[in-house]
Amino acid sequence: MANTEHAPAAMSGYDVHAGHDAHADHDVHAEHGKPHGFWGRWLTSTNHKDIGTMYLVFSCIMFFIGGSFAMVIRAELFKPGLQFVDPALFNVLTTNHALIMIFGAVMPSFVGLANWMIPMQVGAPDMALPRMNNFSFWILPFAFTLLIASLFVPGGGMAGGWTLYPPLSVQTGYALPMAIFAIHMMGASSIMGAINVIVTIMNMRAPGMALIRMPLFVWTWLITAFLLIAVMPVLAGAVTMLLTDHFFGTSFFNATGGGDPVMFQHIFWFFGHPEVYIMILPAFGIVSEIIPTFSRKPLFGYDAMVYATASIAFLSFIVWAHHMFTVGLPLASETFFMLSTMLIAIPTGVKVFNWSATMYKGSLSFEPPMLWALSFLFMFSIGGFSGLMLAMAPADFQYQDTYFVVAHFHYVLVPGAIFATIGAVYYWLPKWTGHMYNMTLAKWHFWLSTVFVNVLFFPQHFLGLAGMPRRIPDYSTQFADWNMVSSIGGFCFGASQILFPIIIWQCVHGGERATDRVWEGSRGLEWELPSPAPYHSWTEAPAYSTLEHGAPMHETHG
Amino acid sequence: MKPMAEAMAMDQPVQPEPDDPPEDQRTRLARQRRRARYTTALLVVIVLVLYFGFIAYSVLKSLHGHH
Repeated sequence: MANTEHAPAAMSGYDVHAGHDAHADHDVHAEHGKPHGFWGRWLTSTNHKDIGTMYLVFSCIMFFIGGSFAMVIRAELFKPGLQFVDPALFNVLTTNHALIMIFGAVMPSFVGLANWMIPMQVGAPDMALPRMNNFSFWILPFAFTLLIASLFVPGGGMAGGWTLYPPLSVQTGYALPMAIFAIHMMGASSIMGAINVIVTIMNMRAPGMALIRMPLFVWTWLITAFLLIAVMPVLAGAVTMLLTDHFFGTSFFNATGGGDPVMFQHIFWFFGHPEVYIMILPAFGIVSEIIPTFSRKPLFGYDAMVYATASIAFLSFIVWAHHMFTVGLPLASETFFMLSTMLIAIPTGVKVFNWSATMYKGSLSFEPPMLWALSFLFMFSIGGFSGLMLAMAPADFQYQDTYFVVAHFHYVLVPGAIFATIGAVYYWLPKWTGHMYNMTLAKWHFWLSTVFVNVLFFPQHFLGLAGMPRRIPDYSTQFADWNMVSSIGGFCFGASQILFPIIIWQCVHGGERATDRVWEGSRGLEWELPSPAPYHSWTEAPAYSTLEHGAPMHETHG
Repeated sequence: MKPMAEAMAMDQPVQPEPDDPPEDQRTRLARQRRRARYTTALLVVIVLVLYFGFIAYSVLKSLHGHH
């Protein structure tokens, strides 16, 4: 239940009065320097909260665009035979659904949350490089305009899958350079965002906030940012080589010229597997913030969570070829990549057990953020277990390129990454807007999403095990029933997401006033700020006297 | 084994002694800006090395494939 008053200091672990002093300080400076006018405020903004908002709005728009592609895909697959789109357009839609959802929806949503929350959680007045922050956001609308425009050029858009495997991808027409330039811009944006996050966390923490005492969301983002720095240049290099193969006569991946198409797969997945963790580690951080709040207990095993996150990040660099078991790797390589992939289950298991242990004997309550976090916990685990099945090389020969793989990664990314993002928005929205949202509607949003996401994706396990290949617009009649169920789940899941912007819109424009702490069990610096968070926060750094499990208890000065 | 009081004291974050003069806000921000520039430069170098490194690796591997 939402807190209507400050939690008792003994329970929350905070010096509540010190927090009020902070508010008095902020009231004076909060609105100073806030630009006026729409363009002045949003186009040229260097404020981390404004830029965070823009990232989140952008990712929401991309989520609905990418989602609309998914609706067409599921409509086409509703029954056997070709109904709505021809096979070429179907391939374009699957390719661009993935590119838009990965680079346009999931990644920018996490960057948006990072922009909003990292400075507030580490006690910094803003991101370290605010102008670059503005630049890294504003690249994105141009990148995605270019990508979406590429669907309308002669020959159609990119259709070789989001993995862009040559030789298929280099046979694309005018869309190839447009898509590659768009990917370059997305990569540049991500790299700049990652640099900003690292520089902010490494240099702008409030005095006394040691690395090992940072909130888990900040920790997971720090590690994610290092992953981004390490792998986005690799993707950029790979697509640059695709471009030169197509236009400048090189033969990096062209077997007839002495190149090796499998080398592209190695380079791509050296990027691609850490990319999977880029899309899930911040979600781990979010869940690690939400579960302790609604269990009214500190996070169990804070240090272990940090080390587990770092271990997952390290292991993500030595597992890439599990995406390529069927290309003909040497047996020793397959064994190595199989075992290294299975190792990831250990730190991931540490996390799942620590979240469960946090809830054990906790005083649990089930507000919307907690519901989304619990849903994440259960369904991400389903995706994790199917990942373990795919990690087994001999079994993977059966699963490769079937709907089982589609079911696996959608369980990781939708009830995993996207549910965590939605949970984060419901968790911090009252702090951002100063209003509580409609709890009933938010719970409807949760239950509809949770039921229908399973109706959508769980039958795809059955389809895959029965042998239905992925990326096909038509299929044998033996797959008809489960495809129809999956499509019905898809339409209902898609429709239920319309509630999300409605709830946010209502919350932005009114509703019950939120208290500063918002949730009874909330801990962390951001809850010491007034609700809504002032335009400029922590203009003077808070000083800490002690910290407990990553949740700082502070004394303010100044 | 350390006495409990000493162990607890070690667990406290580093912070100024009560009679230390408070660090000037501008000095702290200047130090942060300087360190931020170094960190940024280092990260940009890493990005460039990885980008051109992977292309160079692929060039060498392709040349090797030719001969």
